[in-house]
Amino acid sequence: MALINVAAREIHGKIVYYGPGLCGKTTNLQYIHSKIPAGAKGDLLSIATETERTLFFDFLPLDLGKVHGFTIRFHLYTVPGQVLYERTRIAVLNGADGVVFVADAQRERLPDNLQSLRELAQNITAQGKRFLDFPLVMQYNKMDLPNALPVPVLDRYLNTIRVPRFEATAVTGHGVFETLRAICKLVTNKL
Amino acid sequence: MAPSMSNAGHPPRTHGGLAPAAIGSFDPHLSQLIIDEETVEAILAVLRQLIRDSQAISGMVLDRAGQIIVWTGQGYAEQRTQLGALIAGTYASTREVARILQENSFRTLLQEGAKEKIFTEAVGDQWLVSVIFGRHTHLGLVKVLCSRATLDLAQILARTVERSKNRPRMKDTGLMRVANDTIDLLFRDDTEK
Ligand SMILES: Nc1nc2c(ncn2[C@@H]2O[C@H](COP(=O)(O)OP(=O)(O)O)[C@@H](O)[C@H]2O)c(=O)[nH]1
Ligand SMILES: [Mg+2]
Repeated sequence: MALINVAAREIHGKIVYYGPGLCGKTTNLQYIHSKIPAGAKGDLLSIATETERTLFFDFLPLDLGKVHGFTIRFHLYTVPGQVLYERTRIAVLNGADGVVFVADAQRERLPDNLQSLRELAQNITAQGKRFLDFPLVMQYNKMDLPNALPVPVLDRYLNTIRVPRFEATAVTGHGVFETLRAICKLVTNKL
Repeated sequence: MAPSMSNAGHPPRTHGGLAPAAIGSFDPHLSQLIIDEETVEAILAVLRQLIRDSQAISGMVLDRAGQIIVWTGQGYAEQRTQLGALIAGTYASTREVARILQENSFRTLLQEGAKEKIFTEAVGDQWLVSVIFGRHTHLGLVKVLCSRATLDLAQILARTVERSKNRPRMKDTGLMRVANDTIDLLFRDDTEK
């Protein structure tokens, strides 16, 4: 739930990067963190295992600065993708104002993407929100790989609800900011 | 002007089989909460008294998403954004543990170090109050004072929710347009064409 602090003139929104394990959620946040000017970001906080897999979440606070006298802040989170961590994902998703669903475009990951997307829909619904009205954008990541499915195929299977979607290669940053702008605007325009 | 709630009029629902608490219950259709001066002042008064009476270091009221509504105190102010995210995350994961144990009453959380401790208690269904205190403060005292404070806080926030429903949407101001422009300006990558 977005927080509009009229007293402190601040607006906060929470955005969660969701998707199957290893699809590139953490890489998105790392890239964003590396490119945003120092004044507009906080530290990137990662709660990960020894092997760098996300255990709880990654967290990156972004600060748009003052807009019409209001300070606008977005808190970006990633969830741990492995099936094992479903309850943790529910915890991180709590109170999200918007979600980026990161899909791994590789052919063999299609079933994992579908399962993760179904789970996301369930978890949003369990929070009492309508999934179809919920601010959501999709990112088809790893488009650089030879086994990436073509966009029309990804659209057909993953984007049946026709939300804004973007092709990306998070390791090089391609599509990362386009995705970020889209979700931030969806969240802001819901205020 | 349009009300701040887009789905007003929906019947109340229950979540995870738990009946919503009478005060400060979670309203899924409320997509934003407007915190006004009145709320901040009232929460500050409760927090300050809590800190004074318990001789704690800092205190905060935050929502379950990890966003801080009011912070007061000297210690750790710089790191409060991260603290808020971590405490809300830890609380949410504790609650999932509680569900597995079919336990309804995991309403508090204690993080204990050699020097400092953090005590967190649920306020209604949507918020948390957290107190950071040192070894000179007695945990038992913090617990008692917190549980009293949560009642006041829940009432303050329940009134805020009610007022929030009747506020105009931000959409009606020029803010959204400027916000979108700022997003374009700031969230861009020099390597983008
Ligand atoms: N080839 C390629 N590899 C990627 C891309 N994005 C992420 N990866 C790699 O995929 C692995 C998992 O990424 P990570 O961000 O940790 O996934 P997460 O589990 O979703 O957080 C890492 O080795 C990344 O370097 C991409 O666009 N292309
Ligand atoms: Mg990760």
